[in-house]
Amino acid sequence: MDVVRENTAHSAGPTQKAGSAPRAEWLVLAAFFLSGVSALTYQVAWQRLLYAEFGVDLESITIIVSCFMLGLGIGSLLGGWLADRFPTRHLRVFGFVELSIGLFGIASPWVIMGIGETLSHAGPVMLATSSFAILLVPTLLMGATLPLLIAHFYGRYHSVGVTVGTLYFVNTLGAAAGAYATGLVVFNYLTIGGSIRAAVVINFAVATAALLASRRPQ
Amino acid sequence: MIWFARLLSFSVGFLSLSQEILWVRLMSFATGGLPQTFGFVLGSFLIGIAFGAVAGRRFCERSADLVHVGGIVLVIAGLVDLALPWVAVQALALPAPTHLIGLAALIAASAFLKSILFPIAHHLGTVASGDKVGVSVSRVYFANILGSTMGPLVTGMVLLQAFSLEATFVAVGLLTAAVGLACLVRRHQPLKLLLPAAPVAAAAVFALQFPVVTTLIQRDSSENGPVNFVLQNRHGILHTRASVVGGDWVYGGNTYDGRVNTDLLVDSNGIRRVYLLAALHPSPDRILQIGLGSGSWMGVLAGFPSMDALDVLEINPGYSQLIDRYPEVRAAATAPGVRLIWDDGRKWLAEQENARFDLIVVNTTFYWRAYTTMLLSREFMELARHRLADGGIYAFNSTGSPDAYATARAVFPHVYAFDTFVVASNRELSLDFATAARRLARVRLPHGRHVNVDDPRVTAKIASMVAKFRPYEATSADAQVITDENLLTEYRHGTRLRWWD
Repeated sequence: MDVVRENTAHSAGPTQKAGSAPRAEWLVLAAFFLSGVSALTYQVAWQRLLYAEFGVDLESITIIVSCFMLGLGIGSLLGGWLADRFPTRHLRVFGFVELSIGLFGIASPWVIMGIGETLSHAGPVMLATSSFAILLVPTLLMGATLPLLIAHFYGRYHSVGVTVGTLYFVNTLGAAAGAYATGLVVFNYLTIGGSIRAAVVINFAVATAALLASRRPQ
Repeated sequence: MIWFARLLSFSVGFLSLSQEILWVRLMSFATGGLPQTFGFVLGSFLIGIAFGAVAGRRFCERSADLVHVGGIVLVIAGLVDLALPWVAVQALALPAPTHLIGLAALIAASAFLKSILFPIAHHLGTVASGDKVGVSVSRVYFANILGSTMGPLVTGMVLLQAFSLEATFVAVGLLTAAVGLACLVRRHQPLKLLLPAAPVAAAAVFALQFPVVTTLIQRDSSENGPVNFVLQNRHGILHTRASVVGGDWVYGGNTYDGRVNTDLLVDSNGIRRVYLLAALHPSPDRILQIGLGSGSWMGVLAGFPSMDALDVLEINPGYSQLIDRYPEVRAAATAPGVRLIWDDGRKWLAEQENARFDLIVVNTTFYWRAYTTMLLSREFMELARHRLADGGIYAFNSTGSPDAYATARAVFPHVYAFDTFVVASNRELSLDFATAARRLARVRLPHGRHVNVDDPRVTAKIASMVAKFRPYEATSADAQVITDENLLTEYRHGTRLRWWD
């Protein structure tokens, strides 16, 4: 029988603080922080590549940003489904998701430029369609990460609010670091391609950490 | 409760991302369009969201009535939002580095309060089936992202077109408070009695807007005369300052964008650069201008004797209202062959696969501003080169960037410098006084007359132009080629957003 978790909040008894997490979980939390760093690096870098293909008029910018968000949203549903489909392998799935993001990252400059050059001159509908097509794979994967880890840590904290609060804090703090770094520092030293490659390295490190943590007994 | 929580999650995403759009608009305007603004706002915003999630987690651990807590938090968030425009303008007046630290704290604070609701909404809206929460939690998260998608769409495309920046700030604040009130009414039914008064209070607050934009405008460049025109639309903010001598000053996004002057002798805006093109090209039939600005360049180009078609690309349609106020450039906009096109110049040029232009003139903004790479990069210049007719000329304003010259040199075989103007072509260009005077004499001025080359002042001007026009020689060892990839003038060689500035 389904239980509305609001009731759990009222009792708040079985929740456990993040401070007592064992080493493997700290590793996962650190990995999720880095996942946020790489996600924002990709977002800023991909947007710049897309603007070069589709223009920087308000319509183009809005469509591109909206496609990014929509991909994340659909990805969140996918993540929720994956979490329930593989209830004992959340970390492994998360690791493979990060690995896939990194693999897309490697190919992303060519994918964006290739599709952009082919489809950029065909009006706003085609712009929306092609932006969505380009961003769908990586944003789906990015959007899936939070529900996967919520499902993993929920088994530990037994409170959705606590789990979401902890994971969202870690991931968003990483995203903030990524936004500051990319927007204020990184482009002074690296090209867009260099920034993307740095994000790929981070994804592979995150994937490795998640897969290592998944081998530990839960 | 499930649907209420999802709606709450949607609302928080919608309001948060709406406010982020407004912060980016405000900070871009305040910095004159520095490219680092986006990263600064986004980073500060995300820090606020992150710590808001921690606070929300605490409430989930300790509070028995999360709907009540959420309502109180959102009402406070709405009140804070209403005060933000005024506080932000005061923060911008602080000395460095306090102003950026203060603004980062303000941006974070506004995000912090709303994101407290993020864990709370998930907590309220998630249904666990045994130990499985994935699908259920993802639906609340999806609602949040859907709101985050709709926020920029509605605010960026609709609200900022219908209202000013300051009015939209107030609207987002009122909406935030309204969502908070909805939470409180849900928990405390007697509060329903207050609801009829809410629209009246909202309308009263909406009428009391702090004039953010005009305050910032008055603070900067006040030596250039009084502000006599301000236009806000979803594309940006334009304004002009009156000037008795030399023509009104035009600003786009709070950065100098030209002066309204087509007179070669007045030349307060370097309009001689456009006249130079008439002297250089024997018969430019088809002309493309990217960047309308004050309309002065269009005013002169429209009078070129052989001009059959002049396409003028501008990204912000608001410039149409701006130039309507000045007869000398307004007439050019409706002259035969002249076409104003509201689009991204680079995108439009890429679409014109079969078009060939005798002149492509780019009224480039300052090289350090966001997205200038799109018009200064090697990729764009190669595109422009492919769109030139045989003997065609490509010219643009380098705004003093040595990298812009170096990039033109990497693309075109023949590159010339004229003040900060770059003139490039596939063919060698030459200029002598007699040819220049003969060609300029045929240029029709906006008021119907032609350039009077018998006037000694005009003669001296032409002689000066001929003397200054020279093949480009590298003047800076650091000059590098700008590419879409390296964003050179926006970041490495640009004007950075420094804490100590």
